[in-house]
Amino acid sequence: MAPLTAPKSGDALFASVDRVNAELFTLTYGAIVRQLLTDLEEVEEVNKQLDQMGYNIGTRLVDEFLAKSNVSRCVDFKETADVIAKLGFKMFLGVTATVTNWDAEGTSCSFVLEDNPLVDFVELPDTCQGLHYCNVLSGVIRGALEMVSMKTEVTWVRDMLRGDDTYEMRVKLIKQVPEEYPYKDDD
Amino acid sequence: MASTACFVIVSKNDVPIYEAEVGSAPKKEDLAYQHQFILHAALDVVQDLAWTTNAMFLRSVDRFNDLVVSVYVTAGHTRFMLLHDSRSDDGIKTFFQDVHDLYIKIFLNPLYLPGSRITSSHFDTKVRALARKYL
Amino acid sequence: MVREVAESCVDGVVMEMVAVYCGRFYAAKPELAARRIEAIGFQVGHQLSERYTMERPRFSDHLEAIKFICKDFWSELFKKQIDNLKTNHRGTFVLQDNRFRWLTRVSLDPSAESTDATDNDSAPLGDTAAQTTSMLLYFPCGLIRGALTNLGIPCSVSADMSNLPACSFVVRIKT
Repeated sequence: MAPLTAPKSGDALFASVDRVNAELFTLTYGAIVRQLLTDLEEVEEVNKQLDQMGYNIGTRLVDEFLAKSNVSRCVDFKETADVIAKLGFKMFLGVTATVTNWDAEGTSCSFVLEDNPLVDFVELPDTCQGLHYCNVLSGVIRGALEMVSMKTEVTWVRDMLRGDDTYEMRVKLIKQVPEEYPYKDDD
Repeated sequence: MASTACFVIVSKNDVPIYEAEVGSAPKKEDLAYQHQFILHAALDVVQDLAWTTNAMFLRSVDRFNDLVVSVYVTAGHTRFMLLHDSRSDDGIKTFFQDVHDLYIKIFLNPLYLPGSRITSSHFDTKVRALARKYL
Repeated sequence: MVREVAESCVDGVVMEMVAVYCGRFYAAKPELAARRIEAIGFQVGHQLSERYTMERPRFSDHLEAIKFICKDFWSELFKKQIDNLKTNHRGTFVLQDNRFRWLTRVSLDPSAESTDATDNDSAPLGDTAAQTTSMLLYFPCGLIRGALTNLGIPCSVSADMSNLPACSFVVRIKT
């Protein structure tokens, strides 16, 4: 399905939104993570909250994305993944992700992030080894995809904070709700 | 390069959070203690001096025999203190400024508790490299 | 070059933080929620004040530090300066932003609050939007207090939003 108006390029998209100094974002998120670590006893519980926060943010960001990017609703998962990696990440975080490692069925793939503004300055102390610091990002992807009728599972497979060479999240399509106006599907 | 140089970072609450012997002279434990003792004694002088100027770099604030204490105070009153026998003010100033850059990165780590010990080995390596370069 | 991200990212995490603490954790104890939100702001302000003072002379008095908050610090955060600064010369300063960015940008629609509706049952009804706003403002109060505390000025900070979208921050320096 060809888009009606040509979608903007990632750079043009990022240039068109209101932007702020990334440090405010990075440090605010970091302070939230630290407060959650203080308030919740289990690291696993912190991971869950971060994912839930991301999910909620994702469900809101998707509207802004569709409104500003001129991207018409994508039909299949592959196309959607490409749009998120090239335009979605760029519009909000100013970086692009690479989509890779598709499985044979075309229902799961990886987003790879070389450059991740969320973790500037972060070093995990030994006491936080189980922490998925970037869980908000996977939550955002899950939330945003659900708003366009794709139910997914998103998990981290590589994490530089834990010593890997890059950031990689695995996105697995669970089911796609074929609906023309998916905005109304939560009743 | 300075044969004696002892560098410490003191938090705003007067707690040492990082220390390193960075001179070229062979390391001796009892000397290291003495150096830190001299630096600690200089803290009071720094305290008084810091409010009289708005410069970050305070030159030779104290002396001990042929050793000099130079200090750099950040806006947040973290103090970088160096006990040294070299006389290169420019080198010392650059050393402090570059350590300040490194320190900011530690300080901005959301999971670092301000005023707690700096345990990053990366930081330690970099500080020692700067000392070799500038002192 | 300074790295940037979309402003929506900051709005998103700030709103979610408020939702987490006021809705999911401390729905029945707003004063605890407020303290956590302020603490998060405090940490950020504490860090950023050290960061943004790197290239400048240290402050030798309170007024200089307050002016730094009004100009440089506010500009880095909100791309504008504080519009009006008043003081009683006895340690109280009022910093007014005529159009506080977070109050004009952030959606205060409580119904946008996610999937966890069931957990929010205990949230008090009534002026929810106003309550969310007042909770949200603990964050910038914490930012200011954290920044000043790091600069050696212990104080308390409160917000006055009786004139929306203007917002005043009242700084009381502890002696």
